[in-house]
Amino acid sequence: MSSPLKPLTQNWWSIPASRYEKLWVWISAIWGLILFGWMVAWSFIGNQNQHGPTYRIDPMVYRSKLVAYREAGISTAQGLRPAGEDVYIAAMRYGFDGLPVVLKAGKTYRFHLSSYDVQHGLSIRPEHALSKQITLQLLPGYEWVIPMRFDEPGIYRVICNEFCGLGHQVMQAVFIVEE
Amino acid sequence: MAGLLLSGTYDTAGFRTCPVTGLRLHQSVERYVKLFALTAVVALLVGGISAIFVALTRWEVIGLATLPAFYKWLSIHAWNLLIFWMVFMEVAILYIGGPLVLGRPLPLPKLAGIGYAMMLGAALLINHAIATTEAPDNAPLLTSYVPLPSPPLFYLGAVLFIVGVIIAVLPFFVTIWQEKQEFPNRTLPLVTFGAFITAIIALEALLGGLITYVPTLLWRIGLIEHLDAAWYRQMYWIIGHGSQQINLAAMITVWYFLTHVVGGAEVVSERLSRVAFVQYLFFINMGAAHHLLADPGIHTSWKHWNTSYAVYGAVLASMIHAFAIPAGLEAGRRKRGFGRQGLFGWLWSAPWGNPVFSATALGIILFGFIGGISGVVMGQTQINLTWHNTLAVPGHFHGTVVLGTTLTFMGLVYFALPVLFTGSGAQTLGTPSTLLLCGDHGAGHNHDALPRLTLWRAAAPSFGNEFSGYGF
Repeated sequence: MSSPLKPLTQNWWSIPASRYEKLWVWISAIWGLILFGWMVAWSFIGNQNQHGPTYRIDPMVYRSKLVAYREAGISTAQGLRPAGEDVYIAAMRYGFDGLPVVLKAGKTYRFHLSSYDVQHGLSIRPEHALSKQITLQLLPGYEWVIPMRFDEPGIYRVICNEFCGLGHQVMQAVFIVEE
Repeated sequence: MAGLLLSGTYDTAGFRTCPVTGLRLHQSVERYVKLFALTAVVALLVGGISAIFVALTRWEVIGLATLPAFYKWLSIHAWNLLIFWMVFMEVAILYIGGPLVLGRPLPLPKLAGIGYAMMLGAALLINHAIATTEAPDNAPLLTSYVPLPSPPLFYLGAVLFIVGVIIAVLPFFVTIWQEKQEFPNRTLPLVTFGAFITAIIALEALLGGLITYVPTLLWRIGLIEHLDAAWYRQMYWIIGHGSQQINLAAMITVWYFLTHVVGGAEVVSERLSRVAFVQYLFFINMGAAHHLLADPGIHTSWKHWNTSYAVYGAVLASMIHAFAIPAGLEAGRRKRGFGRQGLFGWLWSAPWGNPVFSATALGIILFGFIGGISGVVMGQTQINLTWHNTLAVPGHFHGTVVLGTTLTFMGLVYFALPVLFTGSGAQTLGTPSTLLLCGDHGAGHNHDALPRLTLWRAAAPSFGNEFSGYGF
């Protein structure tokens, strides 16, 4: 044992730690490896992952892609029914361009996510359990494509949860998942 | 006040012996430790008051501040507590861990003074810029994410503050260099070693800050046309998280220091404790990647490598400290004859009535169980998807920086101010400093310690006897 305030002159490196401390270090190291393995494994075996390719894109070009996508789909009173498996969403101060949409439960869509102006958050919450949510970061200049499937039909609320200006608190939208 | 900061009973070389620790304190070190620590306490007070406005606005029944004012109060809260309170304290901690523990005078005191003046000026400038924010600018909060513009003076203040801190840290590095020149065969004390690692981590973070804020300032005043949002996030978090790594390393250094001087703790394994500090140096900076887990444009493998493999290298270091510090307390107290009765007699007999000890001990326990565990959980890629940008994040970092770092640093303030002001106007300046601390208790961090602090100050001589029993 030694004082943490006094310089050392002996060879402290050669003094072994107690076996309890060594055991503790080994338990901690193995626990860390298990967590590491689990995080990687969940990418392959889990259904909840934020993995998908990103493309650099000028916000104006992204806007024109979104317009073309909207024209290809069917506009209804509830929202846009996309023509295919692609869903385009663009965040802007203070709303979500491309929403509301009407999706089919159990079908996998390719969500294309970007922003027209500043950084935004895309927080998706089922209306029957608003505290359950997932969040993705939306950046201007980047188009992020993530496969998503919603199994439970219902209304899903979308809110921005990245501070984006004084209208941030009212920035919200919905989409509907049908049977 | 300047007179009080300069006075004291010193020998002809400018040293006096600390009545509590037995350390040889040089006038120059004491002067700057007091200056930085007292400024930090003022920032704590400002940040604490702003917290009231934040809380009473978020509580919708009251809804105190208007919308623009709320974001200004929130920004003032973030910068004064997370940055100014912590960083001013950390410079004081480097001077304690370096020259004060080594019994050396502070080298290049002029640099310390210039660094202090720049930091203080920049802190005032940042507060001013936040308070006078007007459209199209937005209050910066902590992150000031590009391309949402913040006031140009805010970015200028951030650059000046970083340069000021770098200048203020230089005397610490010179101290280490002088010590190694004079005693090449002596190993630095553990507290000095921890401070040294803290300073290196700080330098990394601060250089990252310059890489972030200088182009951002140029962008805001129109000299750079475009700044990429993803680039900003990646660069910003070098300092955004790096500054929290400074808090962590400084806090653990203070844990080793305070558990020793008020609890009688010793170091059970110099080897493991030092290896743990070195692990922080190599792994913890990569952990900043956990801020980007919900981001586009970054490959999953990069996210996994940095936020699990690398982070667990740093978490392992924290686990080593989590064992070593309580074990050191137990071993040290048993050696001194405390707590022969029962398995935990060493713990129950510890000086819990002394706010220096109780603040430190609570800081250790709450940091680990609330801040640390919630951080490891949130750092898991897929769980992060459900926690990112929710109130769970402030929940987590109030566990680390309030329950952990702020409690610990308050313990250090309780310890350092009476010691440093002994014989140099403690009655005059000690009272306002106690009142300043009261302000913070009002904010609800530690209701307990206030009456105890008063008692403890009144009972200082008897504590002095207990300390001397440890034979420092």
